[in-house]
Amino acid sequence: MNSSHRTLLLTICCIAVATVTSGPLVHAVDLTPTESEQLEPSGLASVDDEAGTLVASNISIPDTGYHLEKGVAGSGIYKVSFPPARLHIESVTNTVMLTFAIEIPELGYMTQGVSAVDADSPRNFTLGTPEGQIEASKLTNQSYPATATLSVRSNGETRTLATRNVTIVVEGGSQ
Amino acid sequence: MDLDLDLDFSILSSRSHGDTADGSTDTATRHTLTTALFGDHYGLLLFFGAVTFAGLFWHIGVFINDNYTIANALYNLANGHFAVTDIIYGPESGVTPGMVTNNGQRYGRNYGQLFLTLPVVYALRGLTTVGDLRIGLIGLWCLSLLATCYQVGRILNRELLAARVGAILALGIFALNTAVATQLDDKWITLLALQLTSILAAAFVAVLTYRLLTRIHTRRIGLAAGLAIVFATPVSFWAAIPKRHTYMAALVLAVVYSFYRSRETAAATTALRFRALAYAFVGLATWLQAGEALVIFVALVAVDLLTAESNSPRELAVVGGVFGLSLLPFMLTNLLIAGNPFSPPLFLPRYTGPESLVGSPSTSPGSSPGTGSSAQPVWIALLTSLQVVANGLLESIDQLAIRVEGGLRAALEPQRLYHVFIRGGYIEEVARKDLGHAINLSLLESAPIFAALVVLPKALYGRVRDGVSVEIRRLTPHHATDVLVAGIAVLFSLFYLRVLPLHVMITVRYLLPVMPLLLYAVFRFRAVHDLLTYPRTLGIAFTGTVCIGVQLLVVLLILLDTNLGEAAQVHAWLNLTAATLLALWLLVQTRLPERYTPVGAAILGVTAGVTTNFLLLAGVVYFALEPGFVLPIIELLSERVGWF
Repeated sequence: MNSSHRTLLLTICCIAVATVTSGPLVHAVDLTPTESEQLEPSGLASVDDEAGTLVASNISIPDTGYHLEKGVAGSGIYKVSFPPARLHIESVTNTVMLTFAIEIPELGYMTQGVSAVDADSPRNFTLGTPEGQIEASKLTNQSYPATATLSVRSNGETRTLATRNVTIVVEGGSQ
Repeated sequence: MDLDLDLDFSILSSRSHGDTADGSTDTATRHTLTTALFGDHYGLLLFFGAVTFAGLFWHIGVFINDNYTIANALYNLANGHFAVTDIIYGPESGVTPGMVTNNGQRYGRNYGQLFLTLPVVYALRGLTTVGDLRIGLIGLWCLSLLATCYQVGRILNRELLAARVGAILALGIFALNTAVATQLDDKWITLLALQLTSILAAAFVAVLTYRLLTRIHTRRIGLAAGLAIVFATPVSFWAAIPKRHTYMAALVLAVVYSFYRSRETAAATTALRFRALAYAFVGLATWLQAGEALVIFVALVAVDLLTAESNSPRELAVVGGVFGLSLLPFMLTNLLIAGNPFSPPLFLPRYTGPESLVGSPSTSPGSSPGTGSSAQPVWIALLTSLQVVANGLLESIDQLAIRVEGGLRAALEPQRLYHVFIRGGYIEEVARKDLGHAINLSLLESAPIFAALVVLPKALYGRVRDGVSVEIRRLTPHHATDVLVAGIAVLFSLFYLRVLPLHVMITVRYLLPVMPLLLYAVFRFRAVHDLLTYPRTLGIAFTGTVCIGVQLLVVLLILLDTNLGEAAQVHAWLNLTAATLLALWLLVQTRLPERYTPVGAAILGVTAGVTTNFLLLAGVVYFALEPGFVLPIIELLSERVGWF
């Protein structure tokens, strides 16, 4: 056996020993701990938690800035680009769910951002909508009327905080 | 100075032509086996290199929902039964694409793939009884990396240095991965085994391409083609996705390789042996996917009989006998599942829930209709069985005819051809099933190196002009192989054209077995050979495109805030640009002074590089699955880089 073969053999042995050492037969050391359970993100409280109250001020739904931006050539889509709603949280008890929804009836499109709000939430709260896309072939106009609604859900009831009729502008022209 | 890739390994090169050193030692046996499988050190290098590269994208989880079917079928097969009684992957109902029913039971499909994987399942189960599954798999990948380094060292006559560098690399990467490794659940064993054999099959595609083109041309050309399979075609992308495609690609190449060997040799016995071997690979292919195998069979029979030096009854009997034997696993499997040796699971009713179960579990598997009656005379039972067999055969041929006829009609639709072969883009009815994303690339976008086929008409004209015989019976081994490659590629494409473009094709995966054949054609052109005379330029262009290009791409895609479909289209445009450049270069190359040839070599390097960039980003980022990757470092990288 020459030096290079000895090197190869040594490497194989190292790997084999590590594999067996962490295996059920020897189990001298656990090299592969079980992945820790993912904590539920704070923004996704369960419905059962929606038993609080919210008092908010300076509720603002932007009037402009709603765009459909053309995707990369050939992707056949327009990406939604909507500004977030803002509000100042005066007080909150327990947890409530805030929802900012934008609906474009003519396109049959609706998107909404949802977030849980509790005492630990920042006072000046911003809530946007998730990234989304609309098929380019659906767009025939340069702009579309839409409704933006900010609402709060608590104790099984949904209360509208603010609503605004906005215009969605198709950037770069529709196809 | 250009690297001399044609280093002379006299011992190995002589062995690669079928001779082995005398002696009955284990070493000689090992060398014979190595030669038979890989050819030489370069074949081994390609094999381990391909495994190592594909291992980077070895993800855990199910990529396409019909993977559930074969994974569940394999799990049950490993537990000793054909019927899928236990569902461990996917919906508990077992209602997944490809699940069929007969005898009141559920069955999977692609049993050749499953039987091939069976030993790997047992090996991994064995590993988990003594060792840690995750650590063992990381170790396997690191050893593949070490083997790749070592083979480089052997080729460059720097064995010790390569062994040491490889060992440091392998152990270093092993330690890094182990440091962040988490437990890998044993439930993934069956799926991991399927992925492992698919990776091995993909590696053999590269090896066989190398061996075939080395024999036809030179080792330099063969090696370049083998590397192109790994880095410049989507074969590596599909390696860790346990569909049938990589296995079929390997079998197609094995058929073509055997066919060439049968024509190349002057020895009648060797010729007959390889001729029979070509049919044996077709027989094995039927066990994998009967329809595709039938396509290969039709092309092989036509070209083989027409170009053979002799079709004596003895030769045809040997070839037919071997082919018949190779069909046995396929027929036995069908007999046990469908009760008809020529009726593959594909023809059985689809399982859509308990209410769709066909037949009764009390009917013993394998009993064909009509054979259960004890009052029936033997000859009637025999005739009935023959009728059932004939029906199965006729149905297979009928299906093929329908598909090819549909393909021929589809071939007359320019828009379909454009979308499948040239530019994919956004196709509403396809994208709708891909969650609105235009994720499917065309054949040219998937492997822009195929743009080199633009010189095909010129090359064909050149052959005719140079007086190369076009009479089918007088074709040289090279040209007979060209005809076979063309036959399989055209028939295979027609077989699927009717259903293309289709969702979740990503890289026209149905045509994956055709891609090595197209690459074979690319590396048959003298114009491409000229570019390979500048390996250093080509290598630098390729390495630069990958090392710098992939980073620039990530930055660009993040800046554009692209989603999955947009990212795919960015690659599509880049790849098409590279393809256009390559095609234009090859068209004008002969009119330019030779000193400009390195420019063409650089374009070829860039063309291969942009494909590698797609493979890397698609494998690590775009199509990353939730349970992560076998290599924890890749998982971390995927999480950090992923912006979707």
